[in-house]
Amino acid sequence: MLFTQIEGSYMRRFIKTPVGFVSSLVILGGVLSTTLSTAVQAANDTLASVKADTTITLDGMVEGAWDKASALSVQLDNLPYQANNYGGMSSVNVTVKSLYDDNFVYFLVQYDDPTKSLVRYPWVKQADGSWKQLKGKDQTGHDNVYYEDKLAFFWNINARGFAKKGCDVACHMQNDEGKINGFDQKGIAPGRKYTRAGQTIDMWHWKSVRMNPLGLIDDQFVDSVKDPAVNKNWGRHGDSKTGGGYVNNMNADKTGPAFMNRSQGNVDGYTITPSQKTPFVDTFKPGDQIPGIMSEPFTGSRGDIWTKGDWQDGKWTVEIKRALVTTGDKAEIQDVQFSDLSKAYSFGIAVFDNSQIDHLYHEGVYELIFK
Amino acid sequence: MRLESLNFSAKLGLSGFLITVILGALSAVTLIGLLYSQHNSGFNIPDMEKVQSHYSDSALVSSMKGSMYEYVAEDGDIDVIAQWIAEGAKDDAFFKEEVLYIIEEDCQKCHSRKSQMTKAITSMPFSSYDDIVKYTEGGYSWTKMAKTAHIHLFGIAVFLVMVSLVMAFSSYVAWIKIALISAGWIALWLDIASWWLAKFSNVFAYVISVAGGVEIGAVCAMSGLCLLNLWFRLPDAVLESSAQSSD
Repeated sequence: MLFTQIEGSYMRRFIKTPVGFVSSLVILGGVLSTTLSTAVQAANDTLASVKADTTITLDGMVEGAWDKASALSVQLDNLPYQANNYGGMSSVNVTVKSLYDDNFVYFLVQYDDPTKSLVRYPWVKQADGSWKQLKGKDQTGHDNVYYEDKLAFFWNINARGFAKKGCDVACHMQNDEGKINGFDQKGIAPGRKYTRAGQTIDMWHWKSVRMNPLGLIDDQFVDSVKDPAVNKNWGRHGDSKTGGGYVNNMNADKTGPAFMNRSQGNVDGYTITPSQKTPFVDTFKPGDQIPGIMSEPFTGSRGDIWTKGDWQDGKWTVEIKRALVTTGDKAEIQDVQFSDLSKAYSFGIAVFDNSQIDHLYHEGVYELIFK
Repeated sequence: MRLESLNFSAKLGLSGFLITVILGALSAVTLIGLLYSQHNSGFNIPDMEKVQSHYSDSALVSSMKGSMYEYVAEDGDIDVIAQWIAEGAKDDAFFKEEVLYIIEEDCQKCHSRKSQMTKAITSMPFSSYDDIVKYTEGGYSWTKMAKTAHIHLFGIAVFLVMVSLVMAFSSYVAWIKIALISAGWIALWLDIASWWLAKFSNVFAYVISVAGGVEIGAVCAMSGLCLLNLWFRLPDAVLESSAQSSD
């Protein structure tokens, strides 16, 4: 019908010429290309933080205030090494939203995780009355069986290349000889984190067992230390603190727990918190478990990020709150400072599925902007 | 025999083939756009500098500018590697202090014989001078040229001859058929010959781009026109006189 209509028209005469025919093809190609380019949108690498209308309550619940913020979707589908007993996820999609007010920035992080992993190095009473601490170490000496779910943000402070390739700038893996910076790491660590001299990265390490019950993130940072004699964790450090932290719950001869929770079976009973801490008295039956760790709230710069994470129906929902600008000890080198709301701040995200160090990460980098 | 005179089943089968060719061509365009542009998704216009680099620089530098660019911390790293290669790619202090440092930071995590990272490329280690120097020769070597050329020539020839034959049996005026069929084949030869010639002159990088565009365009145009000829009544202006309607 269409072609019949144009018969005898100017278009008919034009298209009959070589120039007209080729022009028609070019126009058709242009239309197709434009349609394709519109359909295939560029990946969204930016998280926009919007001004909050109401107070945000950190409860691991998605209240209506979050409807105002649009979500950034981040696919994590890389692992740094193949742990021989890793049974966690091989890929996960994380959604992140952000709000801010005059003093604080807030984040809502959600991701599906079919297993709620909180049983970190538990003590288990044996049939003969002794106690055994359960561990499931891989070939590098790191646990992937009796650990905890974790989440980490990396925020660039001044690391070269971070704005382009994100967390990767701090990642250093064993070479063919099993060495990192000349130090033999075979059976010790598949990789280490450190930066170049004078450069630091802020690391927000959410730990579902050790700090989540206390409402805090373990605020850490990465610097250029690449000698285990200087720091056993190489470039990875906790921020300056004035108190608090976590220690193993172990008696002097390392044969059993030293403390227990006052009320057994409470909802956060996978660590021992100050309000629950009571000396261990063995009235337990075989198979009973006691937490292998004790936690106290960090004070100082290491404890200046508040959080609450909750696992429901196969999904972690984690709310985070931090001052836009921190003023703790050495905050200028340990904390990213959201002091200029017109700037973009580079970050990366990683998820640890019941794993000590093996983590799902993404390539490249994302940016936080304030609207 | 004319396309429009085929029975319904033959038209259906041929249409499936032609649509698949178009989708394949668009996929190739998308891949080229991704490999030679600054973006990591969607339809992108290739960057000529990256095209030139791919065909004239060493494999190491062209990869850092092209497919591996996202893993390079800063552009200055590429300049250092390029300088080292330009000065003879020697196993000297500059290599140990500057080049190897960059390789360790940007490449070695995956390019290592024992890497266990998700995207590990253990078959192409960059662990030592001997590993790395293999990728410092500029442009396509005879070996690489022979390897890539025969694969592409055989592969493309197979579907190009089929598309050409379908076009030959269409009802379009002769000059359209001759122009598109010739363009497809000539562009293919020019494109692949220029892969090797680009190491001698950057002009051939433009030849690669233009010939590649013509090649894809000719294939898509022939496929699209044949689809139209199979299913629609076309204006007499583009048809051979014997196929024109007598309405």
